[in-house]
Amino acid sequence: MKKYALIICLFIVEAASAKIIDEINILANHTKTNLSDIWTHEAIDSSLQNNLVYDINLNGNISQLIYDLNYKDKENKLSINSMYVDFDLNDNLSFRVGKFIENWQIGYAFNPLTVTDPYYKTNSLLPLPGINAVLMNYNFENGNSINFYTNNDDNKLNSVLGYGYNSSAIRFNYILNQNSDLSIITHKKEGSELGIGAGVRSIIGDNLKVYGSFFTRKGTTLATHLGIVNNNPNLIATTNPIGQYRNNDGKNYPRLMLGLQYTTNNNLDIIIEANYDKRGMNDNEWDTYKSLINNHKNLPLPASKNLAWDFSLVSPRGLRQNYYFIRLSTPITEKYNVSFSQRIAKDLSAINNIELNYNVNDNILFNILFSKTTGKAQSEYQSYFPYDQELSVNLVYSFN
Amino acid sequence: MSNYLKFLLLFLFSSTILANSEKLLLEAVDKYRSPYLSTKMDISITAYKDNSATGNDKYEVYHHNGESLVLIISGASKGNRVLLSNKGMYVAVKKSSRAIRITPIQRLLGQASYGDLASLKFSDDYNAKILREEQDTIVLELNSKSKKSTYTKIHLWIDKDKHYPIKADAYLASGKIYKIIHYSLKDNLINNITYTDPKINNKKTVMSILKIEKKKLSKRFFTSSGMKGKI
Repeated sequence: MKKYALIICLFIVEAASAKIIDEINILANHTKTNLSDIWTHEAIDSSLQNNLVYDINLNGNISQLIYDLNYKDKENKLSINSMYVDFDLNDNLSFRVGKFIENWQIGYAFNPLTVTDPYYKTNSLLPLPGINAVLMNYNFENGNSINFYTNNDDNKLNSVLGYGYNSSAIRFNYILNQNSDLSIITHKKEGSELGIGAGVRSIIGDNLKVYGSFFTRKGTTLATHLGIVNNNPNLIATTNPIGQYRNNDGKNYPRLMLGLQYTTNNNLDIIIEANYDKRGMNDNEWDTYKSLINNHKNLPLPASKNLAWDFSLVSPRGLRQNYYFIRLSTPITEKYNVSFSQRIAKDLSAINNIELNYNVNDNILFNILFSKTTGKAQSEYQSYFPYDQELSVNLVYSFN
Repeated sequence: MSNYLKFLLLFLFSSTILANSEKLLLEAVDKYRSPYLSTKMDISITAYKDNSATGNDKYEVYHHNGESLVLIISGASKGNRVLLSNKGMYVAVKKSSRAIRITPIQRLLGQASYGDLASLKFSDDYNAKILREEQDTIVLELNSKSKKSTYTKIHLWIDKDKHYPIKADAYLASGKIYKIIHYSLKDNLINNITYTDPKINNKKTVMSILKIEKKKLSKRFFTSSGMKGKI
């Protein structure tokens, strides 16, 4: 109730021309499922319906306090996405305190350095939640900088998608030269070993940027299936077999991403990225997973719950170790921009996105994004990923 | 002392004096951009086709110590920020939570590029030498000190007596003229810069400096991680 009162107050003050609302963002998102014969089962049918959700975001600032409020129609829930302040102790040392997104990533689609912002969005128009945190930023005279970050994530822990953990991280940014920089990161997550990572990006010539990053730590908190861990495709569990079995196994789980961005002289922008993540399933584990699903598909209730547990691992981020990404984008006129992107799995199935941005005027921006999976039968994104199509329509009204 | 040695010393001495005078000349030109060390400029860019305005965008540009932060206030990129510094060039898109490095071609796209917006002082970015003297003008050749410079080479015509800039030809690394630039002054400061593409006769872009004030931002705003902060 307090949150509704806050929104009403914001509108009243805005109406009185104090200009504390920067913009309002209204998003309608429709997903269409295609269960194929793999997931067509009463154990999971009810959780996989076609879905239309509305999402409203309101952002701005009250003096130095920057906020972003989010209302989800489906959940009838108003929440604070971010609310924080920045302050400078002196010319070199500054702090950010509150709830915010701190992004240390280098890539567009794949990001081994996503240690401070573990939340993943399926499309570029969806908002991400912030995390309660403190960030210290110290800038050296030579342009290098060091960041210290510590958070207290109050969102519910999700071991499949890997968020909801408290963590601390240090990043050192080193300017190699005018065209290249290097960042070195250490990250400590609750219940995990210390992880280390690095990222580098470099401009080559007039048109090309190359970049890459890696991160590794001993053990992983990402959940997997007990049948995969024990290489037992015949496992029929009586309790949930999805768990954090690899956190203390002493193995390193490296993630590596390499990418390039090329912009032609007439402004066609091309991005290509490749990703390896050892936490995903290798070929043997993938075969075991498919066998588990196959064995659980025709089980009667209550044993068919095994299929629902198998399904709980599915994510748009992908289940495997190797993925590729390509994006082409270009302005059509000053008002229109169009982009096409593909997230491609090892079996060449893909999530394909077409996005159009229309800048109606200085105050109104209109985005439309259509997403469709493609691939051969029994391929990852075509058959195992059940969200067949997604249509997002987004209207942004800026008050300034 | 032999005559050869005297000649050599004279040559070295006169070369140093000439280089210093060329540097001073360029610094004199820069005084027509801003009288302040740390500056905030309100800028309007209007595109013309056949002398009719086809679009107008507004910007706020903060300069300090040879580094520039550009805030895009209107147009298709409204809300985005661009940082040009000797540590690289970055764009922070409004809907993204991070800044990305940009290539020189991304900096140049558009008739008045981010580089044009961000460049305040020639002496920060270019070394000068006197190319020739004409009736009322001196023609300087400016060569970029680093890749931060928007153009590889500029031929700059300045007034012989007062040293204000009149016209410039801006070249890319390929040696081709990329833009022809004309300057106009009001109250001893540049108030309009007109950019034309030598290949397109009926189009031009006019950058108007609406307001100049003294303003210093914290150092974090001139870094890729801090450039998105609230000003």
